[in-house]
Amino acid sequence: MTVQEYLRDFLAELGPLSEEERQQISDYYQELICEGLERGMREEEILSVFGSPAEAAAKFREENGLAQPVRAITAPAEGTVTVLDLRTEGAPVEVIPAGPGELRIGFEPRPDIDEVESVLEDGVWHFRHSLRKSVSRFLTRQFWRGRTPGIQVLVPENFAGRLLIRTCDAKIRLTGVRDLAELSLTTSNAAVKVEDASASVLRVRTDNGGIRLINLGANDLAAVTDNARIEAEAIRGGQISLKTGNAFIHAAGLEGSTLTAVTSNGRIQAEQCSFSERAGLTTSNGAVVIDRLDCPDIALRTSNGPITGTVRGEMREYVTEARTSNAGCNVPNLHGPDRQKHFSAHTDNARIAVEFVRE
Amino acid sequence: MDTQRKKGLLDVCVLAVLSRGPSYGYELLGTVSRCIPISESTLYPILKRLEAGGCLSTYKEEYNGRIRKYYRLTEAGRKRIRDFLEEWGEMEKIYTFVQTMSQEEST
Repeated sequence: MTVQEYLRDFLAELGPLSEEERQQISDYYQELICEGLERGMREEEILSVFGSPAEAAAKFREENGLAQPVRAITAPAEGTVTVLDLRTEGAPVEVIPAGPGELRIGFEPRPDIDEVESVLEDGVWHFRHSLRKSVSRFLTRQFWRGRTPGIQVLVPENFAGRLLIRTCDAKIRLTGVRDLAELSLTTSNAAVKVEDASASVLRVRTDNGGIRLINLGANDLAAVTDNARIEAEAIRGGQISLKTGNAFIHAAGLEGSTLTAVTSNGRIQAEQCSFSERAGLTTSNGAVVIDRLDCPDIALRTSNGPITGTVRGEMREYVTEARTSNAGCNVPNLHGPDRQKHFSAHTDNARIAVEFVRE
Repeated sequence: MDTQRKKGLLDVCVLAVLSRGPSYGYELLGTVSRCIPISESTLYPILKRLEAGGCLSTYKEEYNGRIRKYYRLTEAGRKRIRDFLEEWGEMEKIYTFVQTMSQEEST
């Protein structure tokens, strides 16, 4: 077992923790291990002092006054799970990597409050969590939803299937799960954060809650929210689509074939992004800011907001079309048979100031 | 030793080590262990608690191509050590009281 595997299993055994706490614990142990190695101890020696990941985690929880981990539930029947279809009424969901083994769900249903139904059918594991019907008699369902304990999904490293997760009024967080066929995360009125992950198809949907995407790989990625920001950083993909309204979109270090970023009443910013086919940034009442955008077909749209920044490339390669009213524009309208690329920028009541740069 | 009491004593031991200057996790474990055995999972919540209580502050510094987290004593931490040492008179009185009372009873 390598140190990385050990820490991964140890952290998985610790159960639900805030991300910050998890990181701090990980850093703490990593540092101790490094110190030991630098003093000539062997890896196995150090890890054996800690005990097995499960033992170390149990001890750690006890010493730190953390709750015992929730019981891990496995699929209800023998057979390979290729799809997890998890629906919950208001539980926050955390998806984290685990060592080899089966796909598991950590959840401790509260007696008389939570109801769980778990069925495996043709490789599809349907996991349904809801509040008992009787619950609403005493207090509103909203009250209990807000207090629902988290559901943890422990994804083994060899799982390459589909994860479909749906909750409401609660956060979803996923870290460190790679090579999935599909990942679909849906909630409402809450934020979604996806970090260090990859899937062929990646869908994130919420509203009134922000979306953060960090260090991802996906052939087809779509993130949709409303009234909340989208922040995307370091994404390698094919088609990337980011949509919201009444909030800003910030993209940095994105690569792929097409980028569609749409909002309204908010600013769109794209830094160091590179797309091989098309990049369309659309908003209204907000600025469009690009920094070294590299793409053969660029369309920037807003109104009442400036369009500024830099395109990576030579202006002579582009058919350019720039239009505004009541303000200055530094991009001429040029076309010609040699110009293979397209750049267009439209706004109103605000300036257009875009430079073409080599690097 | 009673866990609750040990916790309180470990807090002061950690602070005492830090009164010699900033230190880091591995070194703290080693130095405190000379007095009371302490494991890494015990030290972690102590450091967190002391930091939350303002008795120590932390900073990170590069060491050997990686980041090392240092813990440094604060004024509140120094006061905590002084308070502990000043308590000794009182503690001694209680100890003697318990000792004499229990001896009287057994005789």
